[in-house]
Amino acid sequence: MKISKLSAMRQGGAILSRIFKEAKALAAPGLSLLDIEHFFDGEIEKSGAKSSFKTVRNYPFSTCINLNEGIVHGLPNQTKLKKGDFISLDAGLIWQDYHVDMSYSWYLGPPLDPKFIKAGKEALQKAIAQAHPGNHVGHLSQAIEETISSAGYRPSLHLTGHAIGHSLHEHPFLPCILKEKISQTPLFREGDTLAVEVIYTKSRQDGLVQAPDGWTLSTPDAKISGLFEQTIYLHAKQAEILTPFLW
Amino acid sequence: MVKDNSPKKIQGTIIETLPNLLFKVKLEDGREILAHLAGKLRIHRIRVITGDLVTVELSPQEDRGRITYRG
Repeated sequence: MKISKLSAMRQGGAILSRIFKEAKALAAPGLSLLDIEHFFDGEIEKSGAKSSFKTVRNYPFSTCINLNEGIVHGLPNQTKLKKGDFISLDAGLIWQDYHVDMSYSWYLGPPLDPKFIKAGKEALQKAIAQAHPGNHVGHLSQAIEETISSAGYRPSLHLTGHAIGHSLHEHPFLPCILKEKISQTPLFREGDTLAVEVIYTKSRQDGLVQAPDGWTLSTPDAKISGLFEQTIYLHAKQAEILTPFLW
Repeated sequence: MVKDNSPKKIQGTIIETLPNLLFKVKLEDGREILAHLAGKLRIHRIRVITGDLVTVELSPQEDRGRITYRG
């Protein structure tokens, strides 16, 4: 039976949030990144959903796990987690032909730098508050850029959020930096589904370093990097968060 | 998953110079594309001639590029 986009993505988001919560609780010193990936993959299959990231060309896993200086697209490998690591977990799934996507960053053990994490969460909240019909993508970019920059960190130049739906990456893309006039950026419409992502680093440079695996992107000066993301649905007046984990 | 919109950089060789600082470049992977000279190279009057090894940033459609380095 075919169900509406909103209810399909609501259900998908709820499943993803639940698995995400369990995976976050599971992550402990001594566990390898691959263990978390296997857990996630298994849970996605058990729930009857399909892996979303495997639809990306040549990407073999269901999650991206970035440690410390890793910004995005971290391939899960044999590296063991240790206390004090900064992890960004990024995962998605397909439910009833619709993709949902979310990510979250945290310190393993006591948070070493709560200000860094707070800046990311705050930026995401402000960005989502800007996402409603009538506003432009630029309003969202501006909210992220201002929040992150005023906290003393650097939003990512080339890595962006994206619209989401029948495929994982759809237009328009949602940059973390405002590069042009707000009025020239695309308009939000009612019914849009977006994966709003805040990607920011402590690095002082914009460059990205690609690891030999061809995927993992890191900061050039090995400074830590954070990642927060929610999938949202735009109603007539405001946005609804479809992946309500930890909010 | 985050969308990576950073321009793709690739090496190539100039095979033909065209008017208006436009060049035909043969890329490492064998494709031939049109590329123009990046602003920094124009400002510093970097001469680029047939046979030069250059670095090209590709457009999202990957049919055009801008030459960012002659090396």
